[in-house]
Amino acid sequence: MKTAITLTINGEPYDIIVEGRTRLLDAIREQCNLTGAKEGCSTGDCGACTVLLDGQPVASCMTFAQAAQGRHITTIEGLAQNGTLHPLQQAFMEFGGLQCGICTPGMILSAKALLDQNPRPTRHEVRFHLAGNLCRCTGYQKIVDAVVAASERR
Amino acid sequence: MKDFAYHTPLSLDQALALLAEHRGTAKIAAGGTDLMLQLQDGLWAPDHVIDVRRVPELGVLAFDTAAGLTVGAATPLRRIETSAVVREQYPQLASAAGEVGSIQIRNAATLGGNIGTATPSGDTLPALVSLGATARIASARGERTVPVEAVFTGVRRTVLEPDELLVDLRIPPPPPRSSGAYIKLATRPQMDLAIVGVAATVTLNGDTIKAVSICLGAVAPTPVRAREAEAILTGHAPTEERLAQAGAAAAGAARPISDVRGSAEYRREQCDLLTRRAVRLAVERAATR
Repeated sequence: MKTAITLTINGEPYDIIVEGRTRLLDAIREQCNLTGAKEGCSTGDCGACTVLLDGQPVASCMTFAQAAQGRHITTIEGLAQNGTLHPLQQAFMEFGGLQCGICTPGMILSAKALLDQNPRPTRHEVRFHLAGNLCRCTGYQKIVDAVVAASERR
Repeated sequence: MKDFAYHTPLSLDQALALLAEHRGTAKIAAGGTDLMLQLQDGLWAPDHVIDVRRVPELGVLAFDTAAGLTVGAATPLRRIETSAVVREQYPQLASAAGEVGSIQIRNAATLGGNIGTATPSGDTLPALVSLGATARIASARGERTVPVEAVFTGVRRTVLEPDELLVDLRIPPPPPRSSGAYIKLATRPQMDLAIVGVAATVTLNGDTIKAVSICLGAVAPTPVRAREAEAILTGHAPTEERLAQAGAAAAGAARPISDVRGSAEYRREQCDLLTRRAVRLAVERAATR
């Protein structure tokens, strides 16, 4: 059943038409043209589709688009401000926290949610908060280094 | 996945009316994390999905020393996991809620979903059973209260009728010198199903265990009480010898299967060890209350 909805993404309203079964991930990627969120597993296990809903990380592949109405969605595209990278984005680049980059949007959003709530996390806390984001390339060490470095710069 | 109409009722009455009207062709969505998988796998093909997260009664998290804890069925597990009052008064429930999936899943997933899906390994289930939680269940036909322990009838089967909605869970206030623990054995620290899960709730009288409730998860079609283990411990000090006897009895209460996560024999042995650990930790916490 097609319905017109409005999704608020990175502060902007997107008026789109979705079905009941449309996932938030697909609405964001295909109708809003925000392709930072990735489809890695479709079962909520890998975190590549992570977006923030009212500041909290969720798996957008496990969320119905209509469930996200009336909530504030943050995608990776919303992090840089006026061309200036978010400290996390800068740190991931400097510390080698990415290789292929597929996990990176979700990884950075999960890290952002952590730093917004806990500005000086321990490495253990970083690992706990990123446990829902899998990376096949880096072995995680440099991701943790990057998140800690970003926290020290804020 | 077959398409469906997506409803977002704003009141309990609205939700129950929708469930009555579409009885048999509707599924309830709270966090939707289990539902999404079930729909993708073709387990159900509803014409209607009823999103109950805006129903106020389903989003409460309230505690007072007289009534105990009331948790709405659609309260996200992450909220339960991080709640200061739940961590203090019901650490077994806070731990159990925090063991489900990842933070992303827990920001959506709910107690109502964990109960409604009713898998043998649902982490919150043994904690709720060991706490003597009761479930408030409503439909357009009326309301009933069922002990959580009596909700599960088999693998993925509960006593809920197609037009019924789980509204909230109520847990009695903890008596003095009472606390609990939930211990989960899994391959990874997060994002894994339990190989074995054990919840223990203990009330002390001096140095002896006045009351104890032990519930095992992932080792039977439903969560199962280890009543013989409880009887062994009740009225006695929790010495290592007593704990060993109780652990052995708990292993006997388990009816595990062998699967990719572990053999039945391994699971029985872990029931023994985890029961001892859960009771030890519950006793340690109870002694501080």
